[in-house]
Amino acid sequence: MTEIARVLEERARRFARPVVTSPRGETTDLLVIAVRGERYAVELEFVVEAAVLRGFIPLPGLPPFVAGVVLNRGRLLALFDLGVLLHLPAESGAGKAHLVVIETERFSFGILADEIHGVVSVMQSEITERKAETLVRAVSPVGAILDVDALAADPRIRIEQELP
Amino acid sequence: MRTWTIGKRIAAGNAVLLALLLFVAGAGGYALAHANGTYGPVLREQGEGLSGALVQRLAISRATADFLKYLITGEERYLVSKDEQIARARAALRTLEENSPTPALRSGWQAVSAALDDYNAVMTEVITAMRAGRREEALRIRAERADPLHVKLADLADKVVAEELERTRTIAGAADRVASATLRGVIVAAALAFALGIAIAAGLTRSIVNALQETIGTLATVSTEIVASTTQQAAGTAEEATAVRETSGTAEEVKQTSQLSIQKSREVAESAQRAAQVSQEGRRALEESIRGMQETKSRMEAIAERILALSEKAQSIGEVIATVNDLAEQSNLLAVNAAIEAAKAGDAGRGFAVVASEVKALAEQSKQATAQVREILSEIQRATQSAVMAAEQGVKSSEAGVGLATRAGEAIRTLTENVAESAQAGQQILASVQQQAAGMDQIALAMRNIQQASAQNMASTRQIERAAKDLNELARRLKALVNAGSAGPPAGGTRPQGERIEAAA
Repeated sequence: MTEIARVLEERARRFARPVVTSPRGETTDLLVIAVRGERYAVELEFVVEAAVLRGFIPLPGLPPFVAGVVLNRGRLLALFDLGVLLHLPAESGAGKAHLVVIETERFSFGILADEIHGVVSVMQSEITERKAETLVRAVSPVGAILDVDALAADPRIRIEQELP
Repeated sequence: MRTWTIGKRIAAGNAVLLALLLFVAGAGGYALAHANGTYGPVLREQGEGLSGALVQRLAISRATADFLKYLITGEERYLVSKDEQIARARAALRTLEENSPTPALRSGWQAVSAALDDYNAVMTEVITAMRAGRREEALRIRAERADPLHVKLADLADKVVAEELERTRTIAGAADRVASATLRGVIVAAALAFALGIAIAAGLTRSIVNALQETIGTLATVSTEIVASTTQQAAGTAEEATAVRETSGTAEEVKQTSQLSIQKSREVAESAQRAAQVSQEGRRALEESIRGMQETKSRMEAIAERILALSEKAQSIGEVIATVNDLAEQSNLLAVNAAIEAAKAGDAGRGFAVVASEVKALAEQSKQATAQVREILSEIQRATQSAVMAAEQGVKSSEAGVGLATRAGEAIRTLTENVAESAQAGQQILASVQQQAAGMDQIALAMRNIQQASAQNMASTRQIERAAKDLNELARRLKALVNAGSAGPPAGGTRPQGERIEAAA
């Protein structure tokens, strides 16, 4: 065994993480994003992709929570600004914008995220359901879990309007 | 006359008076000489005549007496005496005859001589009678003839004497008339001379008094002015003496001060020389420091250039880091998408999820490392920025320092020159102050001399003042004297002094 191989093995051992199986039941995988400084989580089953937003097309004559449309892998998606929808105070000097592509049973759309924190597995026991609030389904230790179905079913986003 | 001097006037007056006197004396003398010449011989003849008459008379009387004695006594010795007396009488009569001035007198005396002869002849008869014993006869002859002859003789003589006297009286009367005429003339001349003398004297006096009054007035004025001016001069001299005393005191003080000045200026000159040396040293030191500053400046410039190069390198490092960070973010997103895909794959993707999480951890570590590197790099950039700025400031400071040092060098050079000039000036000041001190010594000496001279001057001024007062007093007294002696105004002793005395007339 050479010295290099020995060092690499030691390094691999140090980085190696033991496989942890949750002893106390089911876990939920959440994608944690940041919108205007606030942490929100999206259940991973709804997430198609997270990417750097490389430009979108603003659409005139629409409510302010509709940022515009974005092209993703050949599909044209509506891009929603969660900050407007959630009535969050505007943040100045936001960094690189990210796109999170959500796919529901009704339709697919994109939401604007300031940062993509990553995928976190959270115990079901740690998630508290919140029925009262719209758009936020539950509260987890890593952030408020967005109610994607409610968002997709929100009548505000269904715009049937003809341009004069 | 007006232009004549007093001496001339007096001389002229006296000459007039002398001429008058000479005239009077000449007239008198002429009269006396004339009288003497006219009556002297007459009187002398008369005297001689009278004395001769007396002699013959006396001789006749004694001869008569001797004759009588012979008659009484009969002694012969008396006859001898009688003859002698007769001879004397005859001699006297001869003389009288010879000296008689007039023929009448001569004939008179000749008659007397004849009568004497007669008388003697009679007496001889008597004597013959006596001798003959004829006494009675003798006596009778004597009584009858001799006595009348004797009387006749006497009468004749008396008559001649009376004639002589008469003549003399006549002559004396003429002489008296001449004398009285002369006396009258002399008296008139004297009176004329007196009157003329009084007139001349009055005129002279008036003119002299006028001139004198004028002169005395001028004298009084002048003497008063002299008194006033000498008084002023005395006061001025006293003030001058005081001023001179003060000045000499001041000169003494100045002398002491100049001694102090000598000391101080010597110290100043020495310190100026020291300062010149020090400024020379300072100039050298400053030139060295200028060189050092220029070296520092060039080094600072090199440092600044290197730091700038370093800063550029740091910026390129920053670009690399940005790239690395971008890669890490992309890796992170890739890991997220891998995790999404793994989650969608279910149990089959569980291993892939682990890999994705590892990739994500690596990306996170890369990001953290890049963040650290960026932080460090930003610190480095800040440091280099501040270093660049510091270097630039250093360059500027060293430039300014060089400029300042150059200016300081200029200033020190000027200062050195000034100090050298000051040193030179200090030396000159020292020399001049020493000369000044010598001069002050001379001044002090001169002031002492002036003080003495001033004291003498004051004393002499006082003497002059006294003399002027005496002069003034003299003028006053002269004025009083002149005014008392003339018909002018009363003596002006009470007049205000300095007033011009007007002419009396």
